[in-house]
Amino acid sequence: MIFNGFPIGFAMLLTTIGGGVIIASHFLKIRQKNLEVPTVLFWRQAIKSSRRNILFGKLSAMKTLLFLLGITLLMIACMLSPITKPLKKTIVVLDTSNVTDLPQAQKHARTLLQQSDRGVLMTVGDEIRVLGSLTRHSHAALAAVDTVEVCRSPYSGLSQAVKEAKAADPEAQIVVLTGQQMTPQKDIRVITCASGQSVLPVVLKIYFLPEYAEPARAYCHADNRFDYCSDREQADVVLETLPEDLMKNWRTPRFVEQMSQAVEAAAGLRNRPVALAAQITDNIDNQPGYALRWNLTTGLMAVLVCFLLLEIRLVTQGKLI
Amino acid sequence: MDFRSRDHGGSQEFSDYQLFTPGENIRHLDWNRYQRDGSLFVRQYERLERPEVTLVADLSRSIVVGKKVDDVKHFSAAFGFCLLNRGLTVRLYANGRFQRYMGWAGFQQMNLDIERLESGQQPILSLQKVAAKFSSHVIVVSDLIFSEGYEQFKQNLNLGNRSAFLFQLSSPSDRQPPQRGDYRLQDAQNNADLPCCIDEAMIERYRQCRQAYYHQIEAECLKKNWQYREIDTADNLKNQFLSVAPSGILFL
Repeated sequence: MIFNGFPIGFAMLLTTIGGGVIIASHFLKIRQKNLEVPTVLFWRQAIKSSRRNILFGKLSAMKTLLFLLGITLLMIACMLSPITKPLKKTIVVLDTSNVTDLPQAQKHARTLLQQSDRGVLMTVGDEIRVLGSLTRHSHAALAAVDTVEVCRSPYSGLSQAVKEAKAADPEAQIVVLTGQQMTPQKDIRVITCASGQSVLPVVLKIYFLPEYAEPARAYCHADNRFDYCSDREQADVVLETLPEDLMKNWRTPRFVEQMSQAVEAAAGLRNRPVALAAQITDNIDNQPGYALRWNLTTGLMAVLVCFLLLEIRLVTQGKLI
Repeated sequence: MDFRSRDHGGSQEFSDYQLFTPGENIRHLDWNRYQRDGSLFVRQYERLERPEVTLVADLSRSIVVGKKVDDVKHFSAAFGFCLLNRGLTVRLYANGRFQRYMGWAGFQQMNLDIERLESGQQPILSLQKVAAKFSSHVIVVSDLIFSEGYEQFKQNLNLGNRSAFLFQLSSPSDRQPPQRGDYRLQDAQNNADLPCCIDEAMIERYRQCRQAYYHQIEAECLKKNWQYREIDTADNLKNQFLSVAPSGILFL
């Protein structure tokens, strides 16, 4: 459900109508009915003896009206003004490559998510995954922590994940859990959880067509993430075409860089059509504290409706509060 | 309850001696006494008569509004039956009119008349003008409600030195009105109206005022040597009669 708050004019109209209905129902409720009694003698004496409490007596008769009006005003105020205390939001970026001590990182992630109102877990391995959302409670992200596994891919898009997290919510705290050395960045907290392994042992086997064999061997020799494979069936990645100009210039210094791009694209490690920021915020307005405000407003609305229904029931039954 | 007549006259049972004065019937002279001490005394005898009880059935507007018309009729008929069964004469006073009943035939007629009685014709129970016609014993079945309060009770129920039994009917709704909320109360007796917000506190004060009013009436009855009894209409008739039996009014 999308909620962007009411414009003030609409809120005023709503207040006028709601308040009017409540006041009208109150006066309908307290309208004087005629009642014939054997004598008013005792009633007159009773009223006389209660004169000193007349102010409180009047107030007690109006307590339901005051209560309903109070709830209405509070509800309107909730809809109009933001909550001053913002929610604590945390985006945990967890590097799942084998340089990270995963159990330790998971422990940190759990603690961080438990301490936040809204939490997102981003796992960075062979791809970037977003678990949980900033518009929901941290439970989903917390549950996802245990499902994280060490990835076998040599790719690590840690910097890209951090960039996406920053873009998704500038106010959220970003915590990176990794075993790699990261350059310190502003507003980003890095917790190092090193596994002790300094190199990524997993190497992808890549198959090239026979006509690319020579440049492919040269490239795999230069990039230790890939190993040349002549058997198509045993290869992890199959690369059947290479740009024409790359084939012409394969002996130039830029060849490794260009080849790296092509291979990474073929291996599915680049240019993923993901909208991470949208996943983090779940496409919903990320105004601070909006969720709490919405919950409070719906709660008050429910209380108001319940009381009005009760009032109507009592009035129709001839009983009054 | 003593139904012996205070008049001395045509008698069957010796009552007293009285000095003979000229002009008296010499047939009543006690010649034996004259023979003994030479003094002239006349024998007096009690006159046995069929005693009469006045039964007042209050069917004023307060009774109608309080929904106690049937209760008044039932109690009046029951008291009437007890009195007639004891051989007494019952003089029923209701709606400003008297009716006299005697014996079994009288009981049947009384029941019919009570059943036909119309209610709410009189705004308030007032015995001021008719009290002179009442017999020496009076039974009043009423809610004893007078809009002007205790003073009006004393004024309207001025029964002199007659022996009286007041039976005050009260229903649960009289004691604890069920209504809550804002009402314009209208007095059944004098049409006065009073706006009132009825809540639990107000009900409590109402009960206290009502209780104080009936305590005053009870005290007045005690002073005049009248019998006063509150009858709860929610209880059954038999229980109510058993509760008033010790007073002697039912001759059980």
